[in-house]
Amino acid sequence: MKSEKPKFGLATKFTLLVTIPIIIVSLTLSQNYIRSSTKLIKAAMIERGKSIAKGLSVAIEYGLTIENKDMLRESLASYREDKDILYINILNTKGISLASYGQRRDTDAANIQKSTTDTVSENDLFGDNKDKEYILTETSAEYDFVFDVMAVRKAKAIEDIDFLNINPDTKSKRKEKIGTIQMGLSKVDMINSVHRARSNAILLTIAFIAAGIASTILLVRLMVNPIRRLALASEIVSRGDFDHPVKVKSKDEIGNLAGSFNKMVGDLKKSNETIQYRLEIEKLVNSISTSFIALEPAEVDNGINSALKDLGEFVGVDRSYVFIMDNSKNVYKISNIYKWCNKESEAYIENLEEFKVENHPNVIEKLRQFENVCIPRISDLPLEMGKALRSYGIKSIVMVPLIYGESFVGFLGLDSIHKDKDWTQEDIAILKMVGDIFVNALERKKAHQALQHQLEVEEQMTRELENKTRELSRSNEELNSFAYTVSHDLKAPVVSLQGFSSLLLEGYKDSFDDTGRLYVERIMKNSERMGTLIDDLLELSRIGRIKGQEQLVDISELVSDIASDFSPQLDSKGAKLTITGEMPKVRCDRTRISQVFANLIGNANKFMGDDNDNPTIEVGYESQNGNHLFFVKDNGIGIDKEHHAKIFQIFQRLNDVEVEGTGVGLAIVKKIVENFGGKIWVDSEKGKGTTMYFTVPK
Amino acid sequence: MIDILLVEDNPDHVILTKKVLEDNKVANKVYVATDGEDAINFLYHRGKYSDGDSFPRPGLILLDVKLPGIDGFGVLKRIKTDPDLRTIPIVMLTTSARDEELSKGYSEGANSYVTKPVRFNEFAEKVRSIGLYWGLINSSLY
Repeated sequence: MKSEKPKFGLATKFTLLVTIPIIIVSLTLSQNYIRSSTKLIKAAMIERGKSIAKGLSVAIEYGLTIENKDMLRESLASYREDKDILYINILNTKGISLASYGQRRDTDAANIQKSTTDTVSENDLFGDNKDKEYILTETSAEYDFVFDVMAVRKAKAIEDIDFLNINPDTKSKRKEKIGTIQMGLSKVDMINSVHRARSNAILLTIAFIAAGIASTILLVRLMVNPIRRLALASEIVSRGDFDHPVKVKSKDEIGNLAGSFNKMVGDLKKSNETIQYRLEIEKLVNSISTSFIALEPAEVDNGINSALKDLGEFVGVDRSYVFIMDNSKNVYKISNIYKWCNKESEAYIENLEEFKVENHPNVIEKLRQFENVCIPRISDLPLEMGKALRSYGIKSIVMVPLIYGESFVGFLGLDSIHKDKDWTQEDIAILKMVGDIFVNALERKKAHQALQHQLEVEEQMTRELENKTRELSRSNEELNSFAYTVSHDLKAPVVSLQGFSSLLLEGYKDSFDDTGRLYVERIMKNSERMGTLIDDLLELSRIGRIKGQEQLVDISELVSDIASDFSPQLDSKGAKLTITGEMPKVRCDRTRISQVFANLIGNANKFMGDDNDNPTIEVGYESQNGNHLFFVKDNGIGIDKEHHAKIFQIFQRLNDVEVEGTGVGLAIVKKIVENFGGKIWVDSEKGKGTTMYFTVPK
Repeated sequence: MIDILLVEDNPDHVILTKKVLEDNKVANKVYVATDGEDAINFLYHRGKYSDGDSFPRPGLILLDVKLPGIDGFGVLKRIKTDPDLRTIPIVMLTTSARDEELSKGYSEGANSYVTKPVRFNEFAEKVRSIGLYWGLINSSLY
């Protein structure tokens, strides 16, 4: 895991940043030093020359004035020892050399580098600040000076001295040129000095640069290496390896940085571990959850046991178990149904059997309050509380309640037998999640079983229903054929009676007197009646038993038809039939409802009474909530209240009325109406007419 | 005047029906079969009816709904499915007009229903209408 040494890394940056300025500065400084040294030396040289010239000019002033060559030569003598002076040449105003020694070294005019005319200021005795002029010519080897010697005009003889004019004025003390000094100074020394200065400078520069590089290297070592190590360590950490702290021992900011870095890595490691652990938890819970999703209700028990194993191994305990309340709702009827324990603790699995819930009321009570029971060290429990638990040889225990909706269903627990275990928040969270999964699965199983049971019951009921229906159908069939047979067989003799009495009446009427004829008539009438009765009874029995066809019946049309069918009877009583209300269309058996109306209208007509002036029958309709309400109202003889119930019964005819009818009619009507799902009732008083009401559901 | 085959098991009803038919000169001759099998034999000239001449093909059959053995509807079906016999009009005799037999009979091919006892008016009217219809065919055949 080598970190890439960047091409343009800190070290290089530092080195360049430090050394380049140092080099630049050193070079610049040395350059300046050399330049200024050279300048100084030069200036010194020139000053020397000037001062020599100055001194000489003073010394030879007299000699020059009187042009005494020996004096002049003597003046020069002291200067001969100065090695730097190459030559001195004293000339008079006419340019004739009066005294000299030495010679120019550099005579080649081509070597003239510089030539200046400069002035040298001179404060002489007389305060006359007149500048002396001199010419300076520089060649590669020497400086050549040409000085004009200026002096106040001196008296050549005593006679010239003006004793009266001691205080000079400028005019009279005006200086004038008395001669020229030519002097040459050797540059050699100067050049040597310059060389020396230069080499000093160079040495210094080198030393400086060396120092710079050395300090750079030190700086790099001090700063860049630790930084590099930090960078390397960061890279290691970024790859997930939290186990390599940075080694930096220095007590400065970098040391602090390294320390903070290490601490941070330590924290990262811890939080990473926590995250990993949480991920593992999630994985575990997910895998348990997933396995339970697809689980058949029958497999739930196996699923729970298997999940207990996964859970126990994951958390690292010796035993895991689930206790479930049984259906009796007795608080202490909780038994261990599911369990797992690891290989080392197999001997302890029987202990679970011995765990009698009654012996641990405080534990159970806590769980029933939906609180967790978390005991990292059973040995720490106060004696009484821990006694029971200790006897099982468990060192640590944790239990969470299993809750479904609002009720306590049981609990899920983990035991550590061989060592203490500090239960963490994560452990409890896992238990809760897994517990929820178990509860859901168990409830699903229960629901499934209930459903199965329900289905079985339903199937049973269906079978019974089918049987009953078959029976009913069969008995209905039997009843049908019975009724059929009965009606035919009963009717046969009736037919004979009718037939023969009719023949008798027709064919042998002369053999009979009135009474005889009457008797035969009575026989006929009664046999007819009997036939009708049999038909009515047959009809009564068929209502409900025989399903007619339903159709949409236009009631007003129906009633009109019936009215026209009854017109002979109505006319015989002089009765008028009216229809009131908007008659609906009803979906029902047309035959049956027709029978109802026909019967009621027929009855209304029959019981009109003989002294009725304006016999009317009103057929009406009212729409109600959920029902059609029909009525047949007449202003006939009415029915006494005490008979209202009786009239719908078979054969219950009212004695005081001599009227046609079998006594079955209203019973048939009632049965038809009730078969429709409606109700029929009467509103009537003796002598005040009758209204028959009946409803048909919509 | 046609021959009529009366299929009726009740002797009293036979008397009554025959009386009506005779009194009103409806039929030429009235043959009586007492049950379904008897009727079939008659029509197919089987058994005691093998003499085809003595027992000619009837122009109308009066068939009681309720018979012992094969009931009226069975006979009706039998006759009406026979290509040779089905042209003979059949009037069903029933004790109750309100029988659900009505639709059953008509779907099997009965031409008409008459309630017992046979009232002449009613009967005659029905026979007439049938006879009119069939009579045309009959007369064309004959």
